[in-house]
This record gives sequence, structure tokens and C-alpha cells, in this order.
Amino acid sequence: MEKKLQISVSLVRGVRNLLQPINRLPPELLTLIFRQTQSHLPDFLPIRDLSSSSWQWLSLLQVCRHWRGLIASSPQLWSELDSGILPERFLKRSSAVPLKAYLGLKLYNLSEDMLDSIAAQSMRFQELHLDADSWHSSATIFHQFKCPAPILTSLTLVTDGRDIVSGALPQLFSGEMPSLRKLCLKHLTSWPKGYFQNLTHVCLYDQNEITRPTMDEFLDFLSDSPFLEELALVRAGPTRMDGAAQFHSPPSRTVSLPHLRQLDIGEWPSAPLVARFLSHLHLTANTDMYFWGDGMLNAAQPDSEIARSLALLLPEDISRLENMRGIKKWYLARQPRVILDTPFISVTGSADDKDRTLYMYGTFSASQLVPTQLLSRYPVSEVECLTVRDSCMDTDNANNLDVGFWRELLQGLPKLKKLEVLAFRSIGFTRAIVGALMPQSGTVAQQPSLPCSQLASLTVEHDVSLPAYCIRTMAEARARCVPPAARLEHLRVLVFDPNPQNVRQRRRRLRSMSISEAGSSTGSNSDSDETEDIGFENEARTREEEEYRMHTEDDRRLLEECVEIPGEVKFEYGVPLSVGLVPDAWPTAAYNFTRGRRGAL
Amino acid sequence: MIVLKTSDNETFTVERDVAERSVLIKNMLDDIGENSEQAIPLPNVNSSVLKKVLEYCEHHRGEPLPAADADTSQDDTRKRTTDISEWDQKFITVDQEMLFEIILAANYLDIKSLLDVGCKTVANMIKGKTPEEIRKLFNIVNDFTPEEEAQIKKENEWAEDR
Repeated sequence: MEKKLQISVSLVRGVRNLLQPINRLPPELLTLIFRQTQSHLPDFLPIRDLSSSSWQWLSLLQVCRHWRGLIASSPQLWSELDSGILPERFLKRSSAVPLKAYLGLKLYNLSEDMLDSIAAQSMRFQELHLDADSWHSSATIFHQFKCPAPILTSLTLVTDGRDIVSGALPQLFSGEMPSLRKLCLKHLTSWPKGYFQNLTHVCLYDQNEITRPTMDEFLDFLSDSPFLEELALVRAGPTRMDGAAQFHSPPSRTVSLPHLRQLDIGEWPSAPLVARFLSHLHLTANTDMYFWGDGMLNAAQPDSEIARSLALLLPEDISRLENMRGIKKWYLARQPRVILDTPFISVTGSADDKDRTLYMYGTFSASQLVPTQLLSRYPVSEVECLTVRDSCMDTDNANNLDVGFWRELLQGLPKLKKLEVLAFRSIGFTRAIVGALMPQSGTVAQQPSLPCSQLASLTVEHDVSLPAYCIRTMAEARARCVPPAARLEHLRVLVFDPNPQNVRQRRRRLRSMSISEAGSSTGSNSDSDETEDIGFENEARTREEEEYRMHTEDDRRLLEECVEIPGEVKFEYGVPLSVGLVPDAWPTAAYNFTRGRRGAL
Repeated sequence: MIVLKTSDNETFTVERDVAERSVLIKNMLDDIGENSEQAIPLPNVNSSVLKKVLEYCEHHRGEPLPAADADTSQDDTRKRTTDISEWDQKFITVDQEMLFEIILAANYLDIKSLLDVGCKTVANMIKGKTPEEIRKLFNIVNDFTPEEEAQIKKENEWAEDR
């Protein structure tokens, strides 16, 4: 009787629920909403969100009977199967829809039977992302997947190679993966011929150096995928020298990748190996490139200083790298190791609506940045905007980039119109660059030569050492060399702002402190030493800030009065300093995915 | 110009490219021909909802329409985030009743991008909430029997140690 009553109450409540606005939506729309509450991973390089959010949507099953029934009978909602999250239920409820399977992500006790059941669904696999090392014998795991996978579009196989011989991929899906377009392999370096063709996305990482492919083998692999859109090679790729290979000989063959949108090369043993690989590629203007790693961009080579130059990353002949043409912006940043994670160089902005931009970001030593070498390889003669940042000047790596360096570099940028010097807390850096912009006196008969004669805009960051006088002298000297129309038009000074609000608050605090001190002075001697210390400290800081402000005002007046800067002299406060030094897409998905010990899967 | 007639017999005169954000209306116009001055009846949409829908269509006029055969279940994850543009967010900040009416209208009129914005908005309202909070949000009561409750509790044991 009680049970019947409970059921009746439940039914009445259920009817009431159905009358609520949200439940008046038809089932297909509610299902659409439920699907939006799920967290979905990208089909290529699926970096896992290990928080509970990946299964939190399952709590929708507990809201009401209507939702529970709807969710349970919507196969699409169960199509992303994770070996760590109720795989039996997902397998059953996903009915016959295409499956995305994430296996081995969590060390979940997936029974052999369950694994068999999942592997038997290979006809339904749309994506398979497998961490083989989560099982006792990784080689056995591969053998489970023996039936064809006709609709498989994306495959990720992660292994440290414990049970793999010579990096060779064991039999998988009987080699029948006709729809496969996206492939990510860890450790594996070879596979039966014809396994992987017509791929659009490839990521290979953590290959054993001994079993890595030769250049010819790898170019054969690339030739089989002419529609490749993304290629990532991290601690992997053709870094093995074949017997006859020479670094400097013209490439015997090239592979054209007209659809490649992104090329990631990470942590190769040396920069010349990258240059050698690039010399075999024909890339269009649409390819963004990212190169990173200490071995390539930071490590000292034993043979000579020149071996460390960043110039060696590119081949001598870059005529087939169309994405290197027309670089309009250049960001050059030296950051100390404490700030910097990994040094990188990238060329981005291949889309029509963006300027092609070169980024160099690392703890580079002066010998890596020899201007003549850089200018001979990197096509920067069209650069109109240069942004430089150096915070390595007072570090161990303090081989400073002096006036001579900048003079030589700026000579290679004849079309420079805008220069940004982000030198917050880098004493002397701004001074060196401003010095390099001074006209160079020639012989008696010659006119002085003017570096970057089209320069119209200069932005500098200002903390305690703005070389205002130096800037003014430079502007005046340049003005004598060029007609008025070609003078420095805009000067922006981004001022480090010791938050004015804080200063006001501190002043108020000091004032209230002194009032309370005055009030209590007639009573007991209750002021502690600590309060006194804080008071002095605050007072000293306030005094420092006041001085800083006064200096800034003096600098502003000095520069505003400079008639040789006909345009605007602008002191900007509250602008975030030294930002925007890296491309929007950095770190790339390939960098993030491959940086962990076992990848990010 | 196109004339649309709502369920409560109000008429709206709109420019063709605005009205054609709706695949349903576009197909109707294709069927009845260029020069028809006949009002297009929309019996499933009332005037207050159509006004909102047209505001959306007006704002997004000229933007490329999603391909007719776009498979929503397989689309790229990056496109399927629950991010909503600032304007759309402001536009969709309405009471629940209106929100669901907009979703229904977008579905009926076949305006995929608006349907998407509506569904994402409701999904965002749901995300991160407990079942009890969701019930409260949508004025739903717990209609499980004690037996079902016990079953649910048992089912969820797996998640407790995570």
C-alpha cells in the first residue's frame, strides 16, 4: 500500500514537472541542451580535463524521472566512452552510434572482458585514444583491436615502448582504417606500409633517437598525405642522419604541403637538423611555424660559437618557404630562465588579414643573435614594426646587447616605422637602442647616415631610468637629417604606475595612524614597535613614489618641450607592461599535449 | 520586403535578407516565388517572440549561414564550446519563459545559430549545479520514489572516491 502511494505521489509530481517551461521543450531540444553541458575534447591532441567536470553531466540523471528517462534513451549522450567512467553503461546506452573511446586515461580496473567488449565495437569507433601502458602488457592491448575500423577518423596511441620492438607498431585493425585522418603516436616510429595515408593531422612525439626515420623515409610518409593541415614533431621526426646526407648540400627532393596550416617542431637535438628538414619542404603562405626546445635554441654546441646561432634554424635557401616572405612584425625578447619556460621561435599570421610576424623568445646569448647571421637568414627587410624586450641584462647570461649590436641590427630594417622598447627593470637597455638610432657621422664629404629613416613611432617602457635626455637628443639629431615630414611623429612612454589609489590609501592610513598616536600619547605608551616600523616603511615608500612621480613629470616636460617631435608625446599610466610578446596560439596544443611525461592523454 | 504574420495575428514587415536567416522562411519564399505579397503565416510564433527573433536576425544579417548538411553531432569541439558572444549574451538575457520560447521559435524557424545560443545559455545555467539546485532553478520537484532514490545512490558510488 505504501509503495503504491509512493508511486502515485511520484506520478503526480512527474505530471507537475512536465508542466514546467523547461520540460515543455521537445525531447530532441532537451537532449541538445544536455549535450551542451558535456565537456567534449578535441578530436586531435585531446588534452584531458582530469577534474570531475568530465562526468559532472551525469548528475542530470538525478534531477527528475523525465530527464533520467530522456538521457538514458539518448545514445548520442553516451557516445564518448572513457575506461575510467562507467564504460559498461556507456557501451550499452550508446547503442549503435559512432563511438569516441578514451582508454587507459585513468588507471581504472577495466576487466579483460570489458576491454574485449569495447574492442569488438571497432566498427563503431570514430575516435580511439589509447594509453597502452595503462595495461599490464601494452603489446597485448594492440592485438585486441584486430577487426577493421571503417569509420575511425582519429587515432591516438600512447606508449613508452615497454613492450614494443624497435618502435614498430603492432597489427592494428587489420590495417583497415580507410577514414583515418588524424594521427598521434608516441614512441612508435614504423608501421606496416600503407597503414597511414591521406592524413590531415599528424603528431609524432618521444621517438627513440635510434629508431627515428631517415629523411627519405619520412618524406615518403609525408608524400602519402598531400592534404596535411597540421604536423607536429616533438622529440621525433627525421633527425637521424642517413649515410650520404649532408647538411649543406642542396636537397635532393622536396615535398609540397600546400594545405599545411601549422608546423610544430619541438626539442630536436640541434637547429641545423631543423634547417635540413625545412630545406625539403615547400610551404605556402598559409603555414604558421613553431620551433621550441633548449637543444635547438639554447644549448651550446661543442664545435664553435657559430653553431649556436639562431640563424641555423633556417636553411640557406628559403625560397620554398613562402610563409617566411613579407614578415612585417618582429618580436625579439630575451627573458631569464626564471620567467621563461621554453625558448621558441615562431612565424605566424599567415592569414590574409594579419601581418606576418616573427617571434623570438628565449634566454638567448649575444653569440646566438649575431646581427649579420640573423639578417642573412631571416627575411626581415620588410619589417615595419619591431618590439624588443630584454630582461637578461643583469643575469648570468649578461652578454649585453649593446649599441653596436642594435646599430647593426637596425641597419637591416630599412622600412621600420614603429619601434617598441619594453625595458621594464632593464637598466640601460632603452639607452642602448636609442643610442643606435642616432645618426652615424660619415666622412667629411658624406651626409650622416640615418638608421631606420622611416621611423615614426617610438614606444618605451619607463620605470626608474627613463633616458629622457637621451631620447630628446636622438630626436633632435635625427630631425637634422630628415625633412620635417619624416621626423619621429609619436612618442609613447608607458609608465610603471605605483597605483595612485594605493598611495592615497597609504596616505590616509598614515594620517589615521598619526591621529591615533596623537590621541593615545597622553594615555598609556601602547604603540608597538611593529606599528612604528610599518609606519616608517610606508612613509619611505610613499616618499620614493613621490620622488618617482616628480622625476616622471620632469621627463615628461623635457620630452614635450622637444620641438623635433612634432606629433604626440604621450605618457600612459596603468598600461600593462611587457605584454604581447608571444603569439596568441602559444603554447600550441602540440606543445601542451607532449610536454608531460606520458603526454597529456 | 517580406510580411510575416504571427500566431496572434500581428504582422511584421522585414527585409528579405533578415527574414531569410530562417531556413523555414527562405524555403517558403523560394516556394511562393519572388513577387508574392502574401503574408507568411507563422502559427507557432507569437509577436513578442518574433520581435526578439527578428532583433537577432537583424543583428546577424549578412553573416554566413551554416551549411545545410552541417552535422551538429560531429562538429569541431572548438566550435562547440559554451562560449557565447557578448552581444548574443546580452540579447539572450531574458526570463526563462522567453528563453524557452526563443529556443522553440529558433527550432521551428530553423535558425541554427539562434538555437545554438539558446541551448548553450540553458546549458550554462545548468553547468556546475547540483541536482537540487537545478530543480530549484527550473521549478522541478524530486519525483523519484524512495526505491529509485536508493538505486540512484548506489549507481553513484563509483564517483564518490574521485
